[in-house]
Amino acid sequence: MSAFASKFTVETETTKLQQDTEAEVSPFFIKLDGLNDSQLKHLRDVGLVNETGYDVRLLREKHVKYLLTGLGNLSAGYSSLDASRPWIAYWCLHSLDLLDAVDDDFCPRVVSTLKSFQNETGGFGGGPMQLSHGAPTYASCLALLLVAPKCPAAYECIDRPALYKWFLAMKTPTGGFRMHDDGEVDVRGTYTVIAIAALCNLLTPELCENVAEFTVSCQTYEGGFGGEPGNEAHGGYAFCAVAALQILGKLDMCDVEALKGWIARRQMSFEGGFQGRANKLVDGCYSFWQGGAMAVVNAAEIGLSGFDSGVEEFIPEVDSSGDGVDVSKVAEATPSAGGLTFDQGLLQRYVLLCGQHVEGGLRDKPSKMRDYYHTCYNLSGLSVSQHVLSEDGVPVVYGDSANVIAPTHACFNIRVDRVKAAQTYFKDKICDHTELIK
Amino acid sequence: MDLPTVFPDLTPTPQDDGPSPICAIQYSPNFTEIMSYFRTLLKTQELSSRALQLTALVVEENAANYTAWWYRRKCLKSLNSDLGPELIFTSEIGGSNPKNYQIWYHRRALLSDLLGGKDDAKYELKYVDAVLRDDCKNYHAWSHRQYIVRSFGVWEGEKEWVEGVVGRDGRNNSGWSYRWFVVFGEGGEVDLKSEVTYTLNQCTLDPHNESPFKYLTGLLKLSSASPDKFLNVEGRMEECLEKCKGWDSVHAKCFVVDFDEDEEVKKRVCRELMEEDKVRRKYWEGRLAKI
Repeated sequence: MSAFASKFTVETETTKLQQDTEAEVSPFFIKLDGLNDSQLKHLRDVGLVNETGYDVRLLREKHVKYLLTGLGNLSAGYSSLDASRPWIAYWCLHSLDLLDAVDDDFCPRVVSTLKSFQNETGGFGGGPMQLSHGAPTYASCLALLLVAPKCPAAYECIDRPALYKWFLAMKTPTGGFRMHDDGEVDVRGTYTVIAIAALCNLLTPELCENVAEFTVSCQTYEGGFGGEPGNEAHGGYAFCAVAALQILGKLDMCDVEALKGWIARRQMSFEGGFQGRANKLVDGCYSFWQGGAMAVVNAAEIGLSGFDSGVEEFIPEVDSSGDGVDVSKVAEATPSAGGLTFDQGLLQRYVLLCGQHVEGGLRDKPSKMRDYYHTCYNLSGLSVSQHVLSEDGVPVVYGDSANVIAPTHACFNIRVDRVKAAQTYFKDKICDHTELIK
Repeated sequence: MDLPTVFPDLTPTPQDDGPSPICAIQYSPNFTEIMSYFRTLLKTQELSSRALQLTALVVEENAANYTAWWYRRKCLKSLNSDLGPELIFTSEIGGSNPKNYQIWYHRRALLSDLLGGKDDAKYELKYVDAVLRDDCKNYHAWSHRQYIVRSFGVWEGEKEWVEGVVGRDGRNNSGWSYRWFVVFGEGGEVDLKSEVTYTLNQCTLDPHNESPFKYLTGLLKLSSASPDKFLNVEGRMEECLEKCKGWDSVHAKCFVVDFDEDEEVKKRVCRELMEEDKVRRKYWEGRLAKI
């Protein structure tokens, strides 16, 4: 076998970067049962390998510790994210929720902070007195909905009629949505509006008119979706488009076969993780953007609607130490395991071996720093890969059986039980255009 | 800029994010002062040249502060400012933030008000060139280029330009995607035959390069979807299939599965791909089942 997995006959900048990446990740794929005692002891000491076998472990406690730092005081270096505080909150809270580690007592602080980011004219800004923007609105609402079962004030804090009016104000004649007043129009705008409108029961025919048409116009000859019509197919935008179409019940308006082929092709043969675009490098965050998009497509294929998660009742049976999962309820991650059209075991291997930082937090690839964004989307991709369309609700788990985390909803990316709770809470609220705009 | 001197009439507005806020950034005193004056302006909605100057300080501290860019555009409009220097200012901030949505959108917003003729658009394309020289796959830059070309109708020479980009690295998929935009975006008659020839040559150069194969697939799908419009591609399919069958490449084989009319051939190739393209085993299994 040649030293590199990827093949080429012409060496270019792209092939060089790809080879560098393969060289970078290959040491992480070394056979663990071939290591000598001191090497194994080291890996067991840091917690990456379980005590009784050679299975890689999810560093739960370390990730929790890292994520809690994101919710507390952040250094001045984070000033460049001062317009993205709802994102930081969502990334950390959702990650903690997947690890079953959101502290009840913390939830009221989430509500009071995010409430101060909400504008009277509807929507949320990146901080107090910042203009409402689709991304912080999405992140704020998701963060509120995920803590709401523990702190019902979170539901009440969302001003639905104002939010609805703001959504309408952002809508363009072509069926797209601006990210903010005098702001860019792309499928992020579409997804953030449609996802939150669906969760808060604001999905009126008036809001949805033409939205699927705009979204479908962003599909490219490759099968994926770009941010705007004509742009290159890209994992982040593809997820936004696919999830929005599925929530609208209109995924069949796009070329689903081409889409499926494109997403499947984005999984890297050697690394196991996903790339965002053709001929780009693997990145742990696409574990969710691409893996989640495929999960949405696969769920739609068997006739599930946008709110259906493709996850059967699942309650993670983890004891307080975090190591006590019932092993009999976990399926081995073989190449053909699971109901998703990608190699679920290989993706999980990338997340666990290349994504994890030994001190907690996850990353793009080993040479990159950990951050809250990559922690969230590596774990979300791991969750999708373990749970969505798993047979009889038995998760597909790579490595140690205690690696199983809570199931996320592939369309909304908060836990399935949080989505159900929001649906129940908002189902009797007014969802009528004329009433809402009064 | 000494803020109390410039804004003696304004009282700074401290940030109020409730009791014991989460994700609390420990701002520098300078950052806090600038933002506190900016919040006061947001309340008073003063559109003045000193307000404009303050927005510059805000975005220099945090280029992703979309509210400041938004407010800055309001000031520029109100003051009827010359937008040329504004583009230069934006380039300076953009230099260290090539992936920042706000800065790219700011350019678009300025351009839609500013551009008189195609010469200005050409100038803007040079800016895009400079960004792409540092990062030849910068998504924002490619998207911006499309915006300029589409909005100002400067299609001329774009195909040749992107051929140069792809010539340097045939795996620049952004370049391929841009080629599609140029070829089909202007709306005139398309010489599909020469597109197929160009693409097939690129496949031949490196049969392991996905980009030209996806492009070729796109071309032939288009032609089979509307045969009246693209009659001139007929006859090329056989040539493409024959070449693809000669290459030991997953992309070439994928093409065969997509287009060959012989079901037995499709099935055989699917089975080969289940072994050779292992990570997509389930995908090929699914394709096989559908034949």
